[in-house]
Amino acid sequence: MKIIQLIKKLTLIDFIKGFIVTLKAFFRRKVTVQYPEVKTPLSPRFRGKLALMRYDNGEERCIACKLCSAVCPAQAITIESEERTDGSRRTVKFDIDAFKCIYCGFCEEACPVDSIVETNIFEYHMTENQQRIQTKEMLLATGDQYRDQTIENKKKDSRYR
Amino acid sequence: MSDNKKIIVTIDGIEHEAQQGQMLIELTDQTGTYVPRFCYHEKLSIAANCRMCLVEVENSNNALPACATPVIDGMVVKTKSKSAKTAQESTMEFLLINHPLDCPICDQGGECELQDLAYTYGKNQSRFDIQKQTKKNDDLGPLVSTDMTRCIMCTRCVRFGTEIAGIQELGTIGRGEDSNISTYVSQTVDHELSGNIIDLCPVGALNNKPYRYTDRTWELDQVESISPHDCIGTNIMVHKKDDIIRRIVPKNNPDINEAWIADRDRFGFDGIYSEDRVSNALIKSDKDFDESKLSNAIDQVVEHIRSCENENRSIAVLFSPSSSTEEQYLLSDLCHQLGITAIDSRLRQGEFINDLDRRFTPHMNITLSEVDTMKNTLVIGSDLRKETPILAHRVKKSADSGALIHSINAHSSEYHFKIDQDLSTDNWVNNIGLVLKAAINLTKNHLPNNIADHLDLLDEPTAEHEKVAASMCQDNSLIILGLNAYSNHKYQLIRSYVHILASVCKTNLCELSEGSNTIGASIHHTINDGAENIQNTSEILQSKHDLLIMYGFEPNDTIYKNELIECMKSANSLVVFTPYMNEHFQQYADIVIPINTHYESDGSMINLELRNQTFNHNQIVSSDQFSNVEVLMSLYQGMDMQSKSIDEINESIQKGIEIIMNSSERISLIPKVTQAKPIAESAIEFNMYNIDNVLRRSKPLQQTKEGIGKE
Repeated sequence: MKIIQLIKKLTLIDFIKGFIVTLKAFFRRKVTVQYPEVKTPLSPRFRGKLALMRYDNGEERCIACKLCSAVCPAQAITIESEERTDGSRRTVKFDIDAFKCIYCGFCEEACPVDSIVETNIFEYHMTENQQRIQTKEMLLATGDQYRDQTIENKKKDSRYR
Repeated sequence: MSDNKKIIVTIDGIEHEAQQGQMLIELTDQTGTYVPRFCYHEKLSIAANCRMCLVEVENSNNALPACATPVIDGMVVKTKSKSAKTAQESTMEFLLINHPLDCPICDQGGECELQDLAYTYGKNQSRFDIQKQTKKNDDLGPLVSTDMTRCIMCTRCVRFGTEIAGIQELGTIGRGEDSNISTYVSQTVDHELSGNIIDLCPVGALNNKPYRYTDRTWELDQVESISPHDCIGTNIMVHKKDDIIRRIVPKNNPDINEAWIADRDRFGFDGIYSEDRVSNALIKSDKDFDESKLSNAIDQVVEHIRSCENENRSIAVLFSPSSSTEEQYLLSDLCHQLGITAIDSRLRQGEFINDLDRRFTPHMNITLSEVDTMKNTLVIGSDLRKETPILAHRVKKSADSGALIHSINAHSSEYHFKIDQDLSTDNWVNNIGLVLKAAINLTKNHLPNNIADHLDLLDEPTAEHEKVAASMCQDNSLIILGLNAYSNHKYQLIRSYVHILASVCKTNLCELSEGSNTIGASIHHTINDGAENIQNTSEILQSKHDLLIMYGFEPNDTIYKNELIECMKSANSLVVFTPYMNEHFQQYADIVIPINTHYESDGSMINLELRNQTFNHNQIVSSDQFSNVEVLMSLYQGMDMQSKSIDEINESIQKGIEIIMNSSERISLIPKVTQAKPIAESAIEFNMYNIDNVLRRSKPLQQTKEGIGKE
């Protein structure tokens, strides 16, 4: 045994093996990208920032059934509802605590009217603690802003549902 | 039906003992086997029109509805066999054909019987692809919302109308697929118990209108409670979310309210969120109120009391008959220790005779459930349906099983049962005397001269009076003395008539009292029997006081509104403990101390059958508010006095109840006529949604016909 070890030590075989691995990796295709100049592709199923969607005529989809807040494992959703003057059931308050949210997507699954959706936006920030609360207006604005992209993603994913 | 022979019925392989005449579903409920149902309700008649309770019975060709199948000896029933299951699933499929899939916006969602059963018996996929039906929604008023498309035609609401409410407000029109629940001609539901159709409806067709679209059932927490709006002590469940009461539903108590509550118990709580709630203690300087800390205000009150005490000036205390027994006891005991004799809680009593009032506390000597079994009932001076809707329902139940109900009142009131003899005339007090005379003639009782002389002055009783008297002298009879008589300026005479009639005919006696806890208010007097010469409301209002303390009520709660306002005006200083501000307090009060309403405090109340019930709303009120008992305790502390502990108070309350319960004595003399002034008809008029400060501020109730009709 000692002789084998002695030969290994003298010929630097392990050393060379290590270099070979490095050399192979040197010529392999790169998996890292220069974020944020370059971005990796996202799956249409990616679960990012939450948003509230509207119908084509601009009417908000949410009917205040509160199934999303019931199913939310982190209890991040707070909803208050009442009868709107036209007799329909609507929310007066729809708050999501972005710090509590764990992006599990259960709310999206539970929603009977496809109102709450997860967009593939993952890069957003806030500078103050209070800003973690996403109000109904903010969520609807997010929905409006990324509407086309989100709809396209949901369409792509619908085949597998 | 009355045959009590025991028979053996086998349900799902287990033998059970059943009673002849029982329906199968009653037996399965007893034994804990669940059979699905929509139209069956234990308090209503059997309709058997939903067909959901179909079960397999051996030797029968097809499945039978468990709710309409009487048990037979040796019957073998399978509730979960393949054929029973198929029958139930098919029924469910038919029910779901026209039922909309709007569970996410339906208020019933989460507590819906159809939704629950659809999980077990429903199919995943509908096989019905023809257009679904929609139905027109009737406007049933400010309390009940309708979504008739959801209706599965179980007709529970219709049967409730005919059997419980006694007035058919809803009915079925059309046939087969076109059948519909409707009010026939467009009108609102105005019955005082009509809110119960909300609980009865197994789907979301009839729902709570003020609560509409606000919460889902799984968000609510439930707290047991007692309703503070009448002397019945109705058991309720308060549903709250985020420390705010969202709705109130009945708590089933077969001894008191069964499954029903009155509309004012259900919707009255809305008043506690009124805008004129007082949140801070207020002290008047010049003409305006300054907000101050509670402790400062209490110190000021103590100063007022001290200065009056030192200079031997008069202090008077009036408190609400609807506050909890503990508050009333603490307040009474404070006055007792300070030697204040002017203290009373009877704000609607028309005539006072201290001696009689103190010895005979109004209560009933039977239990509420025994009212069902009465065979003859005489209702004196009462709009029973408005005053105590639950008791009126009990009387209706007895009438439905053949009891004779008679009525003597100042005006004919509308009843939902047949009145055998209605002796309501302008001279109605005389009529009571004549019934008494007829009863004495009938029983040939020997009476003290005082009574005999008085009765000799009356006319001779007519055949009608004799009929009523004869009916009262039979077994199982009951006299109900109502609040209209209570507020009458001849109350003492009426009361003596009634007491003597009750002892002559050996009938049971039920005297209604104002507020929810008049008996609790009298407990302190009862225990310290005749210890001092206590002044009553009428005496208090007639004299001028240096310090007047009002606790938990406002001038509109009394029948002496004008006198009280005069008294408030003339008092040197006025201290008000109130949950609400109003114009009179604004004008005359010197110190206003905020207290909690019933729904925010805890304590106990004694109902008219002397049942002591406790309630605890600590879970509803947020913890930074002082409880009413704490406010009163701080008064004790300020005065350097020792208050009794809650345990000691409870002991005293128990003792007081026993004293009242054990005294079977009744008034046996005709009182001398006092100089009580007749009280204006408009003041006595009993508007059931205007009797206390919370109800007066309940928005949904004030939108009803009764609420709008108030003065």
